Amino acid sequence: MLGWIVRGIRSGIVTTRYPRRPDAMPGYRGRPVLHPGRCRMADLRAAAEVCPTGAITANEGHARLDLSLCIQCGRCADAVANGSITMAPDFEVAVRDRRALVVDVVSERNGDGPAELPSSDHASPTIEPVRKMLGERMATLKRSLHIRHVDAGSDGSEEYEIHALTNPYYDIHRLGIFFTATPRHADVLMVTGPVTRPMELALRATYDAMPDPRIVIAVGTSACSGGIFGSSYATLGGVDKVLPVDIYVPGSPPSPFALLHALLLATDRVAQRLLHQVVRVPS
Amino acid sequence: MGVVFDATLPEESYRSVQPGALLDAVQELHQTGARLATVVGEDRGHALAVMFAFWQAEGITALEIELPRDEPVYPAVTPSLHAAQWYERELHDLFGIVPEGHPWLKRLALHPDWPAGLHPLRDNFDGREQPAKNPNGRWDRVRVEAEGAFEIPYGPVRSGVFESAQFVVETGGEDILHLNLHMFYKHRGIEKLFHEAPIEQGVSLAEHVSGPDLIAHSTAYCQAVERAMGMAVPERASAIRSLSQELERIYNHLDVVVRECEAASLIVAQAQFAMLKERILRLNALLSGSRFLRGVNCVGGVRRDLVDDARRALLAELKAFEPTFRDRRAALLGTNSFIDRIVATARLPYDTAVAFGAVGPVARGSGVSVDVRSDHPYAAYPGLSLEPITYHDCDAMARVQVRLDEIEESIRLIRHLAESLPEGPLVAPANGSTPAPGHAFGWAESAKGEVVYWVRITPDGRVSRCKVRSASFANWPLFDIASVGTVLTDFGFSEHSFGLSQAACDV
Repeated sequence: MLGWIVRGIRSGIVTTRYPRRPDAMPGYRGRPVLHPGRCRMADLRAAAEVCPTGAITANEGHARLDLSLCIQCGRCADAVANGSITMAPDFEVAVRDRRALVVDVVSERNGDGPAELPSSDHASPTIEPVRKMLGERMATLKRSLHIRHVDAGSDGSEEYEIHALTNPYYDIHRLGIFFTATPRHADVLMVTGPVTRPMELALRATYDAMPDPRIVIAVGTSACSGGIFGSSYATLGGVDKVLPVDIYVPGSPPSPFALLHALLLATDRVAQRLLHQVVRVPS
Repeated sequence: MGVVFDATLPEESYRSVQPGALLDAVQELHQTGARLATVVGEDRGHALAVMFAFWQAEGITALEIELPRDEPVYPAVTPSLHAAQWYERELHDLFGIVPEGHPWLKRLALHPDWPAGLHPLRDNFDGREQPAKNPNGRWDRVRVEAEGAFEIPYGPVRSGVFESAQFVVETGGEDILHLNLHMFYKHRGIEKLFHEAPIEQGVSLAEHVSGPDLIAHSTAYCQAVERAMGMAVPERASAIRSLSQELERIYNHLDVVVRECEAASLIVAQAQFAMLKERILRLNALLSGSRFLRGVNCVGGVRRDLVDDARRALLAELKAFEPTFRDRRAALLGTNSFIDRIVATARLPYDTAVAFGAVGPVARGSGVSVDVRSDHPYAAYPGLSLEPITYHDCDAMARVQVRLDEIEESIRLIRHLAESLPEGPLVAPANGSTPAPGHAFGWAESAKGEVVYWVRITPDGRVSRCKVRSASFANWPLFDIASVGTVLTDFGFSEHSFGLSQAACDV
């Protein structure tokens, strides 16, 4: 036993300083980003052609990149040679509203795009008081935040990443965040998977057993939208078909840093980075 | 037996038999030592077909029966071949095929609330349909009725970050008298999604069967498609596939060790092994852009090259990783409070492992020498001298030791592959014409055991049927056998020593 303690001390500190200092994962592919200056409608059509989940769709006058459907395969960036779509390794991708994960693209020649305004934030008004409350509660150092996790049909990699949050590299305990076995002690529900038919009841029961205020985080692309599984005889097509979702964190799976961002966003300790955008590109 | 191996598809043969002659044919194969590889159902329009595929020394031999759609009944093989038990229940749920005489033909892949008479993998079932739940559906389970005996339902939402499954434990308070497995809470209907998917999209689907095994699954899928289309994968791509698979094996095996340490509340050891696992996941990100190596495979080869800089970084990290791993391994095996918990825990006797078709570290921990990397080598494995690592104690300790040894072997293989990486293209040249329709098996050894795929592709380059057989599907039925006689406090140790994936089993 002593041997383990000596080994523990000798290993030094590997823990990230995030969110106090930025951190990065070398080589991580991350999410696709559109570069309107370099991008033409034809590029988006080429990307839509190879996208396996319909995260990129394009027709003559309108195209859309929806990160809530993106499985980070990188085929779009490979399909366009001119750098109009690149993969960006930033991990602060958690958002309070699913529309913030969408970039709408309208052709310059044909301006009849979506009516929505650019760069808007559509977060539901009910989440704000909860975030503030959880944030204040944690700021005093008197209370901690407890997470209950429910697997509603993930491919298993999301569980690996959630489990990784407790390893010395991420160590969520330093932030006052803990996992709990019982939903009655939980403030946050992290749900993975597209919600399979048999898990719907168990998911609702877990949510119902949680006291207010509570926050639901949809972890991973399949939880955000159904992802590659979509909606079928076996799956319902995303957590928000069953529960009110407060935070969406896309990725297949989202990296542990993205999960940290989501948890800190839930408690009002970091800012949301992504906003709904409308961009205009030449046809 | 007069089986003719197709020249274009080595290691693969098919034999049609009448349903009435199936049992004899199965017996004949079984007696030669053939091991069940997978059972594939297929809707052929005019009839429903079932293929029982067996591993033989030469490769896979499939016995094929065709059954009329309106009365798809055949004599069950489970009574003589126990390994077939879950496959036949799955066929019954998904195709409505009735194996007559099956000893326990209860719901498996579909839950009891699924309406009777609807079979998702039949072609006339619309995959988007969401039929109403049958409120009267109840699980059939084995109940132990004795004084003081009771049931503990554990799951599907479990204490901790686990995948969803339900274990209904029949107990007298401490000993596990019987364990009922209610699985397929995570059934996502992936085999239905494969139907009519373009072959390249199939790679993404295979990658989502089980995230932590995605290299094994996508490799098995790609190899099946490549075999069906007669594509030859370039040497460099084969080497990168094998190398990726060994990286996948290392972090999966480390995850088992982390979970076992967690079960033993050995917190520092848990943190130390979790750090090693995180190092491999970060190495994966550095090499491929994904911590789980997603996006490496494509039909015909690989999408990500291992450039010289990455190769140097890989070799440097292995050089630093190996002594640390060896030190932690020695410390773990010297920690008696840990060893005491896994020695003689959840024994799976050799004969049971063979009879029920165990694969992977679960089989090898019971002394069964099965490993498709050496038995039926694929990708770059034909050029690597590889012997299955077996232990003969049949307990959780043996299964952990198999994995610890395999991590060292994987390091050796990765180093060898990285140092002798052949030059050349990454993807097989497209042959210009549309792909010929065809079908084939593909396989790979995941960290949990062998993965077997069977695909049929159409002339327009789509998948018409893809059968996924994960190692976890083969091994889960053995878990309840091994658990009987253990005590409740051993549950975590036995479960993690099996190291199975729920997502891969439930597909």
